[in-house]
Amino acid sequence: MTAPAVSIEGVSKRYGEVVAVQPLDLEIPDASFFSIIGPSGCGKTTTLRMLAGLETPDGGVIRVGGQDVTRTPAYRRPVNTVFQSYALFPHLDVQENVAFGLREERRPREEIDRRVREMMELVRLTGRERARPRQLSGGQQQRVALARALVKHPAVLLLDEPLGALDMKLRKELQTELKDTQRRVGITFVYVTHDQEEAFSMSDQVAVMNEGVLEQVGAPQEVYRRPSTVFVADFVGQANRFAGSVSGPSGEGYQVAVEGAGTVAAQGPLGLSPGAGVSVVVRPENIGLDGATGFPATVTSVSYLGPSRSVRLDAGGLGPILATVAGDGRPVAEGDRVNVFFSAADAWIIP
Amino acid sequence: MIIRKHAFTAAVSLLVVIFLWAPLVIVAVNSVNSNPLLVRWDGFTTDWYRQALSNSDVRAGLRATITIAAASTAASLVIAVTGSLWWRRAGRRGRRAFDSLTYLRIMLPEVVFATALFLVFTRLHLQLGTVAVVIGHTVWNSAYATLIVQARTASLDPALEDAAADLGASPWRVFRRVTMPGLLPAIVAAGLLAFTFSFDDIVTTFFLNGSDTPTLPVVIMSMIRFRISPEINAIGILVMLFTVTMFAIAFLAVIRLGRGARRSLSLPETPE
Amino acid sequence: MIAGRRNQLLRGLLGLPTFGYVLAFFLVPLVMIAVYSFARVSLVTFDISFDWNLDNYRQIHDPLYFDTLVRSIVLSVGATAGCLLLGFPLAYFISRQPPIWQKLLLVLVIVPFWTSFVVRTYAMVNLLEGHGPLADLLRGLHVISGPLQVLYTPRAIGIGIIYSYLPLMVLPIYVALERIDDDLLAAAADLGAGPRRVFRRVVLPLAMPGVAVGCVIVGIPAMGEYVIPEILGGGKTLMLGNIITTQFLTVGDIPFGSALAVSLMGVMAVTLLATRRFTRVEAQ
Repeated sequence: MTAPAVSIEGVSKRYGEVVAVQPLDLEIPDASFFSIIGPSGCGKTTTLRMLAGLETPDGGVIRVGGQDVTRTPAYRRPVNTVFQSYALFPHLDVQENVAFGLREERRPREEIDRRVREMMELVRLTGRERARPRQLSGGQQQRVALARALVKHPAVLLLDEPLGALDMKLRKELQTELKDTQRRVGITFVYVTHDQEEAFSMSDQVAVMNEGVLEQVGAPQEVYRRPSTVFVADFVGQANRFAGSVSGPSGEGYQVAVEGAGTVAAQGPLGLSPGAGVSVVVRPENIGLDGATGFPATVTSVSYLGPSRSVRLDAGGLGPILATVAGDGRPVAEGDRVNVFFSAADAWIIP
Repeated sequence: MIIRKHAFTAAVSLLVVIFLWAPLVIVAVNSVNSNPLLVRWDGFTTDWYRQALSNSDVRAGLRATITIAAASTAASLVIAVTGSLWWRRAGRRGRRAFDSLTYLRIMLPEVVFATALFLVFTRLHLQLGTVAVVIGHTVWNSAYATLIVQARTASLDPALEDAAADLGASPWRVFRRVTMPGLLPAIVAAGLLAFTFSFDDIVTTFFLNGSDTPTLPVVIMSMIRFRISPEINAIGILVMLFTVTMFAIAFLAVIRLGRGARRSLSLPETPE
Repeated sequence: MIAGRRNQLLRGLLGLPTFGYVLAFFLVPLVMIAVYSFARVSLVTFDISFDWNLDNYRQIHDPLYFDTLVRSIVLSVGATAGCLLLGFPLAYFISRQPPIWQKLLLVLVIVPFWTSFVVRTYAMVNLLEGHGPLADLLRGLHVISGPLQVLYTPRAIGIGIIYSYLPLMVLPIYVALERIDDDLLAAAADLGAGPRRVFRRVVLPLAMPGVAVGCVIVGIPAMGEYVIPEILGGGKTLMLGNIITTQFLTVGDIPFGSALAVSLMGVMAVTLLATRRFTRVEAQ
């Protein structure tokens, strides 16, 4: 395996009394699509800006391609950014915007022209070279911003919520496009977003941050199925949580005593000792309603979503339960008594 | 125009607008009135304009005024641009101190700090004259220029400068290629305004000019004092045309450039 | 923005021109004038000696100067009131017009303000002359019978100040009034308030910050006015600005001139403090 594209060791940042980022350790594999997700104010953008050199960390070391760049100013870092508002220069046209960085490198004219032309083809904007940023649609502006950063052949490309200002349909299109572009150029993308679905659809790896703390890093599936904290479980999709205590091992997992539901089997991290208070997390789509086993619950509401139906249940002391069932499955109605169940493989324990 | 609903205020407004324009109309009419005593209309003439333009005091005064105004404008712009950029990154207390000093320079009666500067110059045995006048004008001119440039920096998106730095531009290059073009409309407007204010000044000039060539407003002032001559009307109209043109250009610069830049600086919410 | 201590230093240096300039050519001179106001001058040798006495301030009580001080304040307050009386209806009228008319009317108000200050004041001489156009008009209306006796009196100065400073009053009031939605006035009327009460309970309170700003930026500079009394007062009716100038440039009693200037600053400081409550709202 090659050296990580980015490695962050103990990097922290505070603004006065406010801690934006707690000492953070993170390695970003080379040539990967890496996302940092979290709610607004979680420190993801600050982390990105420290990578770009637009903020100075209070402590720690940042390496890009093995080189310490902690004290290197932004304009000397082999890193480029696609900004949230795109930050296209309003007084320059598309061509000049894309050529901006190469001109700062004092490249020869022919090289600049050639590289800009190639980049315009890559982002499919050939023909719009002389347009001003404000004459472009949101999606086109986004592509100019991407071209402007990529044309410099950065070691790492940073993207700060680059699709945030676009409507849903365009977002989906551009997500695919971004992922394709990343594969084609083979550059490490570090992508910041508050939208976990967006991050999951594109990323090789995802880091979840909350209140300046890195909660979990892993492949999207791993983070979704095996959240390491309650925060991650809730932030990444919807989750039913049952409080209980570990009563003992069971096969590859554990037995957990959940009040109001008896003992359930669930997977969990290694080394949990009996008696420990835990939460068992089950995703709504893994909840079954017509089990022979399980615990009884009453349907309180059903909403039809097309391909699926979202069912709210009341299971007494367990609190409300959310289940997602196939849209064309057995119809359930408000007031129905059902048996709620889930398999041990779909239940995950959070200490 | 909506008038009927506001008959009273409409009447007052009409009178006030007449009040504001009447004196200027009188000056304009008299500037082409061939009666030298201006007591009645004696027919059209351009003599007064010809006389005014060939008056050596007026010509020397004009030259002195333009020199002073240009120098004071340049100095004011340097102060306004650096100051506004400092203000943009300053803390709350720094900003408040900065703003107070700006407003103080505009509010304080001119005669007060003109005398104060006069005192400094004479007690320290520095020479009064053109340089002293430029220094004096720049005290308030820089404050007006700062207000205008500052308003512009406040609406300049810092992400643009971040983007330039991110793309490899050093701080100086960021200023040259991004900040400066962004501030240009404000700099043009502030410059024209400063030039006009300086062009118009009497009090500061009076105190600090020493025995150097009197500026145009001072020349006009002494002409007024030594009895009314129809020439003054012509000079007045010429000066008026000049200042109105300057202001109009400044006004259009702000509107034109400002609107264009504002539209393109806004977020990409208006696709074609 | 950009990493590095060097840049932080660079950013600090940006403040240098402003603060350096203001310190050297504004604050230091003001302190110096305050210091000199406690000195004494020999009117024979023009030597200035510092014995920290209050004689200069006592001299202000001399009727000759005290009258001028009072006249300056009265003229400034009167002219401010005049500006308010004329400016408020105008600002209100403009603010109730459709946007295009608003802009046009504002240009009508501002353009005279763009013309040279001396020329504008000189234009008033033309207007107010004993046998000038205004006199003709008033005689035609049988308001007066002889020549118009206004020029070279305090009234002429007052009219001149109103004329020159009026746009400074109209603009801030207009800005405050422009924000009042027509629907708001309709709502007040709907709730049973007659036109007069709508004005008293809705328009006036909302316009107050603009009125305060207008009064301050008219009243304070007007107190130190020099050109207007010089031209329209005919050298007879003087204001503080003229006496200060004379003390400095003609008589040579710099300490006394300084004391007058410091008094003017004092009056300004009191005015600013008194109106602070209103103007602060506007600044936000």
